[in-house]
Amino acid sequence: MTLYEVKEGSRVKILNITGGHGVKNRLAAIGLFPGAEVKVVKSPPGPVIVEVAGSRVAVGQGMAKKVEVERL
Amino acid sequence: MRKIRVALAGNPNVGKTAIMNALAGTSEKVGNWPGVTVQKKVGKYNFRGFEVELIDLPGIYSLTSYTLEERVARSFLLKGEYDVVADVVDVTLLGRNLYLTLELLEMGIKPVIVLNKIDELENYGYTIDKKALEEVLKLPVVEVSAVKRKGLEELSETFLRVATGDLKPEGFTPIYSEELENAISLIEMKLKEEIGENFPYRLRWFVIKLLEKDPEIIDYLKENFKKWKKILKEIEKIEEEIKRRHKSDLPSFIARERFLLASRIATAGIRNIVELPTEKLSDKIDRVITNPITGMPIFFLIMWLVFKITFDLSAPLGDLIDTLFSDVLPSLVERALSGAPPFLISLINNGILAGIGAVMVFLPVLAILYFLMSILEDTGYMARAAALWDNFMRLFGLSGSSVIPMILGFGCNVPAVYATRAMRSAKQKLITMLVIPWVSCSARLPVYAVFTAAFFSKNQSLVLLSLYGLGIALALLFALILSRVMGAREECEFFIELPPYKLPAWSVVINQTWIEVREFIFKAGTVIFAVSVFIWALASLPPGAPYAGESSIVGHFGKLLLPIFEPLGITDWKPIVALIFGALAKEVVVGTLGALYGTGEEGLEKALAQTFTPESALAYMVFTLLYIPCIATIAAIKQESGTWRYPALLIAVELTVAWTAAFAVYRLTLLV
Ligand SMILES: Nc1nc2c(ncn2[C@@H]2O[C@H](COP(=O)(O)OP(=O)(O)O)[C@@H](O)[C@H]2O)c(=O)[nH]1
Repeated sequence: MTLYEVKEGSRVKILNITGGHGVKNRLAAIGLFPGAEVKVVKSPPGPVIVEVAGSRVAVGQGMAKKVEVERL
Repeated sequence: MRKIRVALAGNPNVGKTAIMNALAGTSEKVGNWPGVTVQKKVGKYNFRGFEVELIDLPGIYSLTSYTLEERVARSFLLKGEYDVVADVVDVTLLGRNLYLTLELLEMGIKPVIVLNKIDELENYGYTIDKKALEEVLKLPVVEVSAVKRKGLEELSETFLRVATGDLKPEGFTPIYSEELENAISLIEMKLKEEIGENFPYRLRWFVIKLLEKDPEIIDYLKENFKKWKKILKEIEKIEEEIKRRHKSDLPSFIARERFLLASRIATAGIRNIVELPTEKLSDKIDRVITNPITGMPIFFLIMWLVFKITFDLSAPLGDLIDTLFSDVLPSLVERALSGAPPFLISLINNGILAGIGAVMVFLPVLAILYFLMSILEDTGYMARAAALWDNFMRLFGLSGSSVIPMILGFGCNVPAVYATRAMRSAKQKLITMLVIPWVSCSARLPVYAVFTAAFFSKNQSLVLLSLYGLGIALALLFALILSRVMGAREECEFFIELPPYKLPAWSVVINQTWIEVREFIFKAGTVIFAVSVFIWALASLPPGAPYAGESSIVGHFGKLLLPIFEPLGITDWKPIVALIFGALAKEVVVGTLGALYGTGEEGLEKALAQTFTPESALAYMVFTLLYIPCIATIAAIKQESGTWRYPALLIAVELTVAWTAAFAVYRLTLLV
């Protein structure tokens, strides 16, 4: 399952992120890395919003499809 | 007086601007980092006999070298041309912010930790144990609230003590898991065999960055170490092992370790935690305003309000300024200097006063729009609007944050260019400001109005819509081309942080607006003034020639350029001279045509009907839409990009495209 498909309000664990080092590194710096647990505040249409490390972060649809997650 | 240089580092949105404002007031100077379009802000203030210079580094989440902002901040920090580094930390997001702190410590920097937004903690479910944080980090920690102006005295004092060596922070060395530490030691050992005397980096940091596959550091390795291949092989081996055991690549693994360590340190510094409900009102609002179905109408409503307020408030002020500089003052001058040579009066009235007026008319629009934009930014709406548009703008290689500047362009290109400051990525910012001039601003409307009334009274709106459509299409097309050419795609923002909703911090908003207006007057204003006077000279010389008439320099120019315009169906020099004047501001085209045909603006339609055909009128409108941006926009782009290179390139491209498009339109309409 990808972050794009997660239902609003559920908690998920990130399994894998597809992309170059630049993407992964910057996502990791705000707490989005394999193993991290986040809450999905909003799902599409529009951006996906997740709660991570106390802040709200909007992730575009393209990016959300590259984040593989599993439901907790 | 002794000088102290303090560099402010921190994540975006931690309140560096607010701190700069609280400490240095409006002494702030805005410029660019050398050679790049990243903004550099410097402020100064005096404290106990010392002059403290604050240097704002770009807001960044980490210190890799993947984006321009990170590279700028990092190379500044590596150069070490400062006395103190202040690491500004948003206390409501302590764990996440300490990630950058750990990176600073890895570099060997021992920053002063500035815990900002301490006033916010009342609404959060915890308090801070400053002592505990100081003990873990082995760094001085100061609690401040930039907005409420608390803790500022202690902050300056700490800067002073660190700068004078009175306080020598020991600095904690981040130690990671055994697995990672072993990898670090291994590579350290390999490098030590070859390391030169003047190796410019801290070895441990260099190794960690190598393991993180930092492009700049890998390049350095390849250039300076003979055994670089072996070392990279070794790192690959380490990565394979990590992949096998943790299902993660090495850079992500390190970032994760760092993030977890930062969280652990944060936990050590936090007390009295109460569980807060995780579902917030702001989440409900976010669901509505970032959902395209509901969010788009809200977005357009807000933008409409911004335009309405701006133009309703600024119109009377603009008129006042206009009357002052084109009526009241000139007639005063004429009376005071009656009998003086007309040339002198013309210099003062049409040259100098008109030039100052050209700068002043922008001030109301600029100040009001900037004020409203700061409010949108400060309340948190700007980030939501960016998130809302991100998907669409990505089609053209831009990110959502470029939408608001581009839409402002319909009002006036000048504040639109300044609005790109709110964008994080320097490349995206540059692209956005370069495509804004394609967007048809309201000053071009009078030109369309006169020509459509004269030639297209039946399908006026169709012509207008096509012109606006052409502008938008070209803006998006060039955005796409530029983002390809400049490789801006990799610098897209992969995520947009949504700061909590809040009321604007008025003192900061007002101060920043004032700084902005002042910078405009002194930077862009001087260029606008100079060009105004220059064009006046072209129109009045040689002495005795009627102003902008056939025998003036500009008249000769018009005739000289005629062969270039004949393929567009323009057979008279007067419209060409009007275009030259249009460089000052595009609505001036109409006034100049009125003056040159001796009709004023009322009878202009008839005069135009004799010079133009419908086809050449269309071509002329297209040319007016697309040819060079007005001088104020050019000056704004120069001010924002820090170099004349981009505006010069823009002018060349726009002239070419304008001519080609006008030619195509003329030829095609002749066919049908
Ligand atoms: N409550 C509170 N908010 C602050 C404080 N300092 C800054 N802010 C807010 O934090 C947001 C980001 O501040 P800004 O100075 O623009 O951050 P920068 O991106 O680091 O320059 C703004 O909305 C400020 O009003 C503070 O001391 N207390």
